[in-house]
Amino acid sequence: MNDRHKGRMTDEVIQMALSRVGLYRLFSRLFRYEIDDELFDKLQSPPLRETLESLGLQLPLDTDNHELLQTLAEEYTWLFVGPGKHLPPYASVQKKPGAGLLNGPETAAVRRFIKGTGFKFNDSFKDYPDHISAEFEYMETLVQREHDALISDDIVEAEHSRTIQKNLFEEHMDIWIPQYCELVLDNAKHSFYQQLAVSTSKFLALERDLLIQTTT
Amino acid sequence: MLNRRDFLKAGAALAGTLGMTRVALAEPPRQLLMGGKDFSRRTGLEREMKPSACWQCVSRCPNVGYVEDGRLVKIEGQINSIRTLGKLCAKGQAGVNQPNDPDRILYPLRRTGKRGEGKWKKISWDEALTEITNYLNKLKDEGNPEKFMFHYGRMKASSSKIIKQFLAAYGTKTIGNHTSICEGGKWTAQEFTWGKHYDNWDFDNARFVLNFGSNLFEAHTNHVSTAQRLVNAINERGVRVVSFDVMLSNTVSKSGEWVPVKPGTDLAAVLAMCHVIMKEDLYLPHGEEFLKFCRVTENVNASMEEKVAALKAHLKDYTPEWAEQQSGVPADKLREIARAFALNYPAVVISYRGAVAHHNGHDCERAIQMLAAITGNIDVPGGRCRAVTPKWKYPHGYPNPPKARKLDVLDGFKGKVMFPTHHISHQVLDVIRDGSQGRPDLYMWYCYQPVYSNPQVQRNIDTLKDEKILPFTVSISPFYDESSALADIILPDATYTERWDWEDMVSPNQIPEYYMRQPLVEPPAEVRDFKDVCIEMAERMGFPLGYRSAKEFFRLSCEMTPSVKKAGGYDYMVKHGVYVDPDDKPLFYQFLKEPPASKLEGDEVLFDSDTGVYWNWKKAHAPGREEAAAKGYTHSKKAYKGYIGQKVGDKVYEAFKPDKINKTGYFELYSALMANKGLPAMPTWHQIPEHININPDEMILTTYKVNVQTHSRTQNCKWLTEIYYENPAWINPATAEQFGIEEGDDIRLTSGMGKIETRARVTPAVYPGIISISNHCGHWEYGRMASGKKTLFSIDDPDYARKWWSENGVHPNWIIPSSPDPVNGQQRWMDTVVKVEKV
Repeated sequence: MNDRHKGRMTDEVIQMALSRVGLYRLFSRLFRYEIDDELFDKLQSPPLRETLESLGLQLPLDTDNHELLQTLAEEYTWLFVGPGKHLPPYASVQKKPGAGLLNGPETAAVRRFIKGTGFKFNDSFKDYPDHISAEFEYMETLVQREHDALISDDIVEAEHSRTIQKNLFEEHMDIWIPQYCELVLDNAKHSFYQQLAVSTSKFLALERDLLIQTTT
Repeated sequence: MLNRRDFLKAGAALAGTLGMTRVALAEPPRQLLMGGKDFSRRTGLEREMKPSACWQCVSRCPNVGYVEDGRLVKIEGQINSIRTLGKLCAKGQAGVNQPNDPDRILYPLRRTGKRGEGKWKKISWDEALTEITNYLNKLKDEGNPEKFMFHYGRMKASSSKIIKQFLAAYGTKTIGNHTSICEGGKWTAQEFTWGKHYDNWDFDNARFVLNFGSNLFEAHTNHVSTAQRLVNAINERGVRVVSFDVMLSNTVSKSGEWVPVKPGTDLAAVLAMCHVIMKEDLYLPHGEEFLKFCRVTENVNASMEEKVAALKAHLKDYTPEWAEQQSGVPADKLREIARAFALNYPAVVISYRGAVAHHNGHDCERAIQMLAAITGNIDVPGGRCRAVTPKWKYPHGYPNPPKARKLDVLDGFKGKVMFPTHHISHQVLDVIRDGSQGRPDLYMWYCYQPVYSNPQVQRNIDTLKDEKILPFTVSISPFYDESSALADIILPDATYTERWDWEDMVSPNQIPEYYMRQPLVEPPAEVRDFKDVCIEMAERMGFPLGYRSAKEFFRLSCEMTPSVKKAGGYDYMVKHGVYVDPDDKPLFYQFLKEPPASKLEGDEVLFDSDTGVYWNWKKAHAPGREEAAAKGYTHSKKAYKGYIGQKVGDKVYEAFKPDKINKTGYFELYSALMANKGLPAMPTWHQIPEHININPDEMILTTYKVNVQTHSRTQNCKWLTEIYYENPAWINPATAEQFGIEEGDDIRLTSGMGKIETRARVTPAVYPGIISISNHCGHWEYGRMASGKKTLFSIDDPDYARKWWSENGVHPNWIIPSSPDPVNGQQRWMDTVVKVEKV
């Protein structure tokens, strides 16, 4: 492989890492909180709006924004928060076979995994680390680390990060999130959260190909 | 069709546009690691053991939690506890299910649809508290702080202190409890006899146990502590236990003898036993000795002969033959038990709702006190004793609270109940609905289920749902229950495994035990201990309580409590969980204590010759000495607060200090207070009005509890609900035959309140003419285990998939009317008459 070819491939890899950072960031945010005014404005701005549409995520245009956000907040709460029947977005509740508990064995396993890679949790973070958004955020950070390593030609560090990503994906994310997305799709009433489930699922399918096929 | 190219393109745009916001993670590490010595993925981690305290039921036993990987994985008894002796019941061990319940509420919520519609929005604590404190400030500014009503179910020890300090600092005394659906009647009756409201039973030293309607092996306010001592007494010393009950409960089944009794007639049996004891002079010698401290007539200076004569005269007609007609218990059996009880000194007579939750419950408990008194079994080793608890010292909150105001909604409808000293909580919603005694604007409830726990469920729902009646409702709960479903705001409370408290439950052996509760795990997500929320609300509204958290309150209390401080204070308690002063001895014969002579002198002290009571008129907040002297002790408002001692013969004793009412310091078998209200001064028989004319198609409905559930707050614990998930109605075979009902038949019960349907369990373990249904089941909210409802993800919940039962029982409160004891306000759970038919 000549230097020119190598350089082009690295650019592509760097670009891919950057893209993956952005996607994990988006999905983490959307599963973490309901859409607020600030995010709504961002997502409705022309470049991002088109971007979202390319992902199959469409926020309705022709409705009153306040009403839309209220509806989306209710839907978010109903799906992911409760009270009563809802879809707790935690691996330890959703993984099968599993404990069906909050703060179950899977929670501890993810916590160990994350801490085992040298990360610490924010003192202000009181939620469980197997919340879907926390797993996405962690993956985002790992991919960011890969991206930064690639830029500084630290291939060892990049590969190291990719290995951890693969382990995380295989051992903790892929065992529950795709099925969880199916549940969200089946139960969401609003099209946006149906689309979010589909889009997340598709992205994870691509991630599966990427991480499992290309990482040894 | 989306492909990788689309995703990559979109992702690049997102990475450049969306700012990075780390929520879960702190700054990434300098070096990525592949595992670490503290978090081996192969070997696992050591479990950390923490002493704490249970809260599944009101016994609040000391416990020990085991935490592994930040997860609570096991709870056991606290081996160092002198109360529990290291034991913990099934409910306590299943406490592990509470913090890990996937149906718990993790964020503050505000309803967005109509009340009860089930539409919610997650909100921040700031939003929630801003809305609530703005509302509170508005009420206060308008001069109506009492329109903030706070209603609690269980709120004990330091929880009670902190939350009540918040309410006092705000200025409302519209504070409801739940006692009238529990044991309020028993408490009031005891206040009328020996002053304090709680009795302890010294099984360690008793030679005979006589039980009226207590199922202490399954449910009791001091369950494990007392149950195991009675088991030991039976097994190790062969103590005879005789249980009067309408059902063969697990307590009855372990007794030496079951005496089946018609519901609502325990009073007749007790009076007959008192009759036998007095007639046969079996009150000698111990009873006679104790009668010196009893008031038996209007004249507090009556001689022993006069007292004995008065008792014999009062009890003359309550013969065993008469009682047999009332209760169905053979006269000879009553005689035999009465003699055995009197002759096996010391003996303890115990009682609970089975005897007390009736129209004649007040006098039944007073009669039971009489039985203990005339045999000298009061406050003695082996007898029925006044409760002993640890005396924690603690910070007193905001130094300048306003004069608090109160809505007249706590004690039922005006004039209907004579002495509701523990309020009539089950009628609060009815009184509010009526409106003539005022209504709160903000109704907030804590650890309470106003819809489910009270009688006439549908009316509770209708009232709570009506925004015109209750404009603003707030629920504080870890779980989405039937009442939270009708709130405007839900504040997610910590489960007891996530809280700080000092604790103070009664000691079964009369030696106080100091113990505490610390978080076994941290509250998750946005969950907060409501005590900490109160502290913040007080800060926000400008009346800081003087401590920053429940933890700090606990720490300060450890420093302020001399014996705890001496032991090592906060650090000691956190490490060991319980403390007993080695110098403390069991507290018996407390009534023999004499107040120091200095306390009986001075301008503030009055001697009331009508009653023989020394009292401090200033401490009773009387306007002045002369007025207090003129009105006298009995007729001065809240004079009991100034009680010093009782003159008995030539001496003054602390005797039986009154609480809540102006009784004398005597053990009152004769109540002048009741006589003044036109009620019988001494325990007197009357039949339950509803039971006088029962139609052939009707039965008497009674309720009961089992050993693995509390009334309403453990059914989400999967370990417990797997054991007890349904509650068919018990019917005696003879009665079933009359009604044409067979085992397993679907049956319908109808009362004036409505109908319920359930299955029949035909069993001789229940008295004829009765239909008995436990009161734990039939939730329609409270998560998947309690309600039996499939959740959205139930197909993926492995434990739910293993759920092998499909029923969740029936809740009897739908058809039980709200009906207080006319003297003390106790809900009469056992008096309802229902029509029963095969479906």
